Amino acid sequence: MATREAGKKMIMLKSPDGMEFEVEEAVAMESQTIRKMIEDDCADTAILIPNINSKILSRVIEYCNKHVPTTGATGAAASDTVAPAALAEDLKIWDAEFIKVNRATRFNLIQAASYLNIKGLLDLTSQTTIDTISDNSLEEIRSFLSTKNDYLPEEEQTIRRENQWAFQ
Amino acid sequence: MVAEEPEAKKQINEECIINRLPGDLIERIFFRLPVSTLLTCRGVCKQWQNFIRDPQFAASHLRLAPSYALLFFPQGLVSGELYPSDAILIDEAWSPSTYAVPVIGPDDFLFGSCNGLLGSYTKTSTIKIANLATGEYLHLEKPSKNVKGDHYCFYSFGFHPVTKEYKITHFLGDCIDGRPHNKDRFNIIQVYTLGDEKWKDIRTPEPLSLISVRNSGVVNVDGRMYWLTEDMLVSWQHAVISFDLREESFAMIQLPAEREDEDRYGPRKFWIREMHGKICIVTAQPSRYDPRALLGELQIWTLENMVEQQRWSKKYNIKNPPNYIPGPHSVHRDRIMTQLYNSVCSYELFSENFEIDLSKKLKLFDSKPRWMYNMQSYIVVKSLVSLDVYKKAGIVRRPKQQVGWELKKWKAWEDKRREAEDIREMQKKWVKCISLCRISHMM
Repeated sequence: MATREAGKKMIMLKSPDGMEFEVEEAVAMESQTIRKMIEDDCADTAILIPNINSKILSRVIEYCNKHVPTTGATGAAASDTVAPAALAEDLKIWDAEFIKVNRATRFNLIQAASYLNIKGLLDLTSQTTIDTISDNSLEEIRSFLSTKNDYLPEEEQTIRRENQWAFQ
Repeated sequence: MVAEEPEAKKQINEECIINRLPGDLIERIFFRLPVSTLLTCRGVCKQWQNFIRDPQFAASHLRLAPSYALLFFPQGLVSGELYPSDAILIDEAWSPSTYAVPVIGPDDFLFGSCNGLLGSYTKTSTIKIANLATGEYLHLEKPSKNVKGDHYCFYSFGFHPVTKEYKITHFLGDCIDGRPHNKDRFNIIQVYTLGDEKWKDIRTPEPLSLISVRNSGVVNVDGRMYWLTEDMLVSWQHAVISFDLREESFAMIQLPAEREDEDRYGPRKFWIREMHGKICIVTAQPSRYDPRALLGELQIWTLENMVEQQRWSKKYNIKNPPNYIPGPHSVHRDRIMTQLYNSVCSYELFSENFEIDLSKKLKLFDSKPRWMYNMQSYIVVKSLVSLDVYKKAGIVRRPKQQVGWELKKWKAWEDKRREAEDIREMQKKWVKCISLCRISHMM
């Protein structure tokens, strides 16, 4: 296993397009999937992360780097430390900036967060999607999600008529 | 051309980014969307429509839906003027919403709420079941026609969590040919399961008190309906009767064996209520001189379901109590709802013994000019529960008139009233005219 600094275990993550990322073990363990691999001793050399390209993986690592508990650099106990309010506020602002990405990237991030099981990132990405859907009209949702309207005009009429009864 | 088609389809599928996400992720997003947004989303594409309309999805969405308190004022005369039925929704942050609850019409009397569906009694020959959030509704034939003294408080609406059946119940006063025989008693509960063809009569093991039902209320918890009956032989001279909605069987639960009545106050009053999913008995003694004014301590007992036995525990002892605890659901979040003078307010429920401190009340809104003691409170959710499957039954009726909620609230009601007044005016004029004609004829 690679080591860079004394006391800080490093882990190699590989994307399917051949890029390699060296990250601290604590950072990688923000992902429950990777944590399990490490704990089960399945992560001797490098871990191949399938389905997540290097562009997305680098963003995920960026997120984990920011969100890894700062107090104890090693060990699982560090995650129990509660961040002070100011730090939490900082993180919120950082998250808001982080998620300002195009929709393809956002969906890839949701998928990555889901596969790697990173709760914070999953909450962030799904909440952003929820907000987008909640705040927009039908046409805007369709165009935002590039979803094709497969209704016949009369079917769409029926749906709209039914929605007339719905209340805010 | 034909060969190109699959290619085009493939492209469309690839475009639908969200449709490529795993199902659990889509659920994660959709479970947290409010009903109004989900209804809009049904129009996005067929896959979304099928997904949102799936009863399984509706059931899961329901479990996560935030709850509201719905305060209902039945239609009634106040100083000679008729006020329509009205309802106000209170959200999780205790602010009254401006949302007009359009599914409750001006002539409707709410009698039950479960899973986002509301049951209302109407003055016509039907009972109305409506979804609060989607506006979908159906009308059912009433179980018995022209029962004298029938009242919305004799109806109840419940759901059994195992059979997933919705049932409407009606306490049928002891009557012969629609005329009350013994109006204080009932022998029969009429039960209708949504989707069935007709109402069923279930005979009670003994005659029960109808007046108690009216005075103390009915609650539905976990597939059982509960109400109070008078029984001179038991402690406090009242007992709880439960009706299992699946087995359609009755059971009696004794009240706690404790009696601390003060001789200087009037006879003790009892109400049955639900608080945080538990059956409660609310009891207090009124003044000897004004039966509406509660004095001394208001006790709230909850029924704890221990393994194989039920036990009452005294939950709260409220000094200086308000005169009225609305039901069937009296508590929203951590606060008890009540009506004080001309306003509706709430109090935080503290540990067992506490005194109502008027300065700590949270005023919700003015209830003026509504009458003080008939407000009802329900905990409701906004759900996607659909009534489609229940509409095929022969007992389901089409309402004769168009429902009014696409119009401005109460507009239809006011128009109808004005129309009736106009007709009366016209009739008067005609009568006058005819009599004048006759007089002139005679002359």
